Amino acid sequence: MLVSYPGPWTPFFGRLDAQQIPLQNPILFWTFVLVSLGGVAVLAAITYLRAWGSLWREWLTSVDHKKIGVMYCLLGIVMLFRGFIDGVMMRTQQAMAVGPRSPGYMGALHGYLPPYHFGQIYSAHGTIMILFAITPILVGLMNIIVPLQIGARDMAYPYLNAVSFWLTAAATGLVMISLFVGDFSHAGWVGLSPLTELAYSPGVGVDYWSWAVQIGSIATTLASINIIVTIIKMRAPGMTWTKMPIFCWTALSTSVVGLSSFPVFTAAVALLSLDRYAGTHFFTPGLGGNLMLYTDLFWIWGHPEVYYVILPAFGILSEIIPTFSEKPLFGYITMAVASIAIGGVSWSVWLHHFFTMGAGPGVNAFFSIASMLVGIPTGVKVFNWAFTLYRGRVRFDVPMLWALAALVLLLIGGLTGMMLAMPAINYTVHNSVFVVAHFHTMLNVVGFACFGAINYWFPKVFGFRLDERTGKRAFWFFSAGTFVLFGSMYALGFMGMPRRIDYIPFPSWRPLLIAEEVGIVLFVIASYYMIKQLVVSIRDRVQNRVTSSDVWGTARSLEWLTHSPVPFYNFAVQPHINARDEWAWRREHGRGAESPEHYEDIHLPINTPLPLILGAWTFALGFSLVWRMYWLAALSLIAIVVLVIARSFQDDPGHTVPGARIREIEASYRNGLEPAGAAGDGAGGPVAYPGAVASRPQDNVPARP
Amino acid sequence: MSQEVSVNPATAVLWDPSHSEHDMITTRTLGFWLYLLSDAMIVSSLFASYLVLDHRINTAGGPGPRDVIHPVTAFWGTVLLFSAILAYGAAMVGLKRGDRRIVLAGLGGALLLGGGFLLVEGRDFAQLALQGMVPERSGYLSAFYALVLYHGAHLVFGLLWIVVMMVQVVHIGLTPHVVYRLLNLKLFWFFQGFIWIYVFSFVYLAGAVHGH
Amino acid sequence: MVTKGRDAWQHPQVQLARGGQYVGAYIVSLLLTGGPLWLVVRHGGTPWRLMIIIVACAAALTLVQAYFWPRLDLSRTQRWMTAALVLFIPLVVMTVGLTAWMFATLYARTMIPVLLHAPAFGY
Repeated sequence: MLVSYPGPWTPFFGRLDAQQIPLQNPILFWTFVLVSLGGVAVLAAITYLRAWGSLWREWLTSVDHKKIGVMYCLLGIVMLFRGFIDGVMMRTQQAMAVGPRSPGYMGALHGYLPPYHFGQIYSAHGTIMILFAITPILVGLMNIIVPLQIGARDMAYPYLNAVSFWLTAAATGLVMISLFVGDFSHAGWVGLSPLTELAYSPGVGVDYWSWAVQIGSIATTLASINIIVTIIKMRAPGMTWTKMPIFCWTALSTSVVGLSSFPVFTAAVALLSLDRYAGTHFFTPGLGGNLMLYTDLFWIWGHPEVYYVILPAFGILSEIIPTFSEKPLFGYITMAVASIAIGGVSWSVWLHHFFTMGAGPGVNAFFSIASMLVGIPTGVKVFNWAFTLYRGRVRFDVPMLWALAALVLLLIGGLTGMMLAMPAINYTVHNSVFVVAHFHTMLNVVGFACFGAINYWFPKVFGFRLDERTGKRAFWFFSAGTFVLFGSMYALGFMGMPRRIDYIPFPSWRPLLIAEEVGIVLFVIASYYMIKQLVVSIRDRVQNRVTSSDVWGTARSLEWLTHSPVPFYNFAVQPHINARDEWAWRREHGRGAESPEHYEDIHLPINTPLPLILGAWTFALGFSLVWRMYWLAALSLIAIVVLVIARSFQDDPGHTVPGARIREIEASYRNGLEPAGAAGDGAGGPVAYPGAVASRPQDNVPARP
Repeated sequence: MSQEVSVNPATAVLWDPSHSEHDMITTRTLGFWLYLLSDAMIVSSLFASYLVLDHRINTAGGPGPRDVIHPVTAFWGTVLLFSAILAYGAAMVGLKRGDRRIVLAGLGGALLLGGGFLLVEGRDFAQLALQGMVPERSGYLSAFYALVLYHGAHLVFGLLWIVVMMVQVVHIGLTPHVVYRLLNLKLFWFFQGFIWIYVFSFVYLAGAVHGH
Repeated sequence: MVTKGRDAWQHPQVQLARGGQYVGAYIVSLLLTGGPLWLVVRHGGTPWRLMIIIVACAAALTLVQAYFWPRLDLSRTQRWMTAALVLFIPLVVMTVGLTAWMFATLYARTMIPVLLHAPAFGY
């Protein structure tokens, strides 16, 4: 049943031995040293601040959607940084290794990265950026904002929400540990078939990739279910479908796309794993396998996944632009319809990723036309945003800057996408960096929207603003980097430069490659300012504190109705929805300051460490499968099944926060006091920031037995 | 876009304190049904793989549908499977009356009949394996086993779940949490029947029509 | 959070159970699987006609079972489940159908010599 592969195997350690830790590679060695030192510093800081207890009680075991959302975002931002460093390394290699006379360092013939290492870096860059950076950030934002916008107290399944997060964390852990134990896939983020087969990639790299993405895609499927059911079942009374904010519409559409497409990805990669572990022949070149089948299955997921990340970005733009135009969103109904339409059409376009595979003209024409159809709802959205800006009082706060730049990028990316949808053009630029430049433009739309969203909603979640000056600097450097880097890349694509190459034979391409390097340097400066923005804002959090619920003064949707930072119960009393932009409606009719007269008891779920434990066992399962430690894999699987069954015997009774307590917390908010009293130990709480921890009074909410 | 405001802002109700309950059982079953539909996408990918790999070249000179497909055996499995679903239906009728004994009897029947299906299928596959018709032989056989055994895996998981539910019905009783799990298991049990309809029709019957 | 004030088994989704309809669906299901099987084993028709019968029976089985077993209809308790199923059917059809379409002529087009004259499907 099990296949043979080169190299030793022992029953206890599987394929793992001490030589798998690549300390001889200077880059990895110093990374390892830095990461270890950083890890020790973080652990020491937590110990020094005596934060272990509160970290465990209020974050790691939390089932509060806001805290899980914040953890998702943190995870995504850390991975965004990791993927960015991969990008810097690739750009630098390509700027160095130009022409036959370019020197080589550290064992490489040209540049400083040997081909195998370069292959791992571009595979890791793609996998991380799409699945472990952008996706967690977006899921995190949906987690925080969707329940607030629909007036719900939590997600439909708070416990499942925590499980999804910790499964994502386990998958991310697998990707990260591949840096220091063994190696990562060198077969691209798409898993180029049949390079991923055991015969051509006998190492553990592809296994790391395949198990990480399988766990990650299961987690995303579960998160999608949660968001869909939350939106269908948990809307506040009065919130009909046509009163729901556009961000929720896009979250719904994107979750439907995620729910339906991620399983196909799981299946494709699971079949690949069967090939690698059980010796089947799904995608092998011999014995009746069909390697194009993998490509087909992969892109059945791959294209909807692209819309999975772009749709929430559209939702974010639809929230930011009206706020800073001081006008309602133009064309609400068309916006909602367009969001759903993009999700629907996303399902019939996947073949445009492999027009050159050789399918017939009928097939190519069908998928070409379907791909172009996506332009219609997207165009509708762009016009709606433009008309929202038209005759609005436009303010250029940091979130608005990011949103406006995202519109420009969307135009460029959309037009080049139209070009790629034509098979005739696609044949000539297939696998060139033109394609890379196109999808980086589109993913930068998502990135810009995310940075905008972080600036926009940060005060709502944490209770203080992000610094404006450093934020603007970060924006300008990031935008300049985007245009310099990807503008050059478009040009190189037209010149015919293939993607994924570690050595560039034509010195005439050097000027543009150096321009790309300049672009990445601008990105480095931008990320310096992003980190500085965070540090400065936390330092000045007392000056930057917001006291009103509507931080920007002109926001429209329901999340701006409740306090900043949001108390653990979201809304003291369930709001009743009267209008499409409920908060703007109340504000404009002079009823924004009213608070409820009666407070009732609030029932909330209890925190539990079980999701974290499940995540840990899932990590063990993935790790042991990568190294073929079958005993540990079996043990982890049994542990997971037993834990799930055990949990089903122990129902969550929840706990009740008395109405009198809610009244106290609400009063302290209204008096502009430090809202730290709103934290319920073990019951969620406003997202804590340093300084708020110390002053928190002890709460009488029962902790989990 | 103008707002379709029909309420008078001065008198509009802003808070709705009574609206704190939502129907836990319906929420849970809807989520689980969505999960099953995502599972249906895995099944669709396996069907797509089977359809692509069901070609002369993909048998690599080895056995084809005519050799591995025994539609009559599969039909006896089908009878057992549908009977297992009917038994679960009996448990549901018992649940409707709040009668634990009927629930347990129905679950027990589903357990036995489902186990019977697995025995029929297992015997069939054991014979094939003895003749060297294993998944490693060719792309066609890989796809065939993946599809049929994916359904089988559902059954194994379902049997485990039935056992857990029998214990919960006895020890916990028909609390809301047990009831929603019984309803989810009902959906799951019917859903694997759906998968089997397609496996039986498009693998067993269609394979017997086309053969090699 | 829980269904208060009444026994859990009085929930509308539990009350959907109907013994008679279950038995009826069971019998129809056996007929709709046994019938085509009998035709196939007896070679009762051309392959083309048999395939049409198989597809028709599978479609009928889907409707019968979806309606009478999990009771997917447009009632208030069930409508979201029904809607979800209806929305997923096109996706399933597209996954399988479009894949089949593109691979139908692919072997011949990719010019593997022994396959140039192979039929699209079947043998």
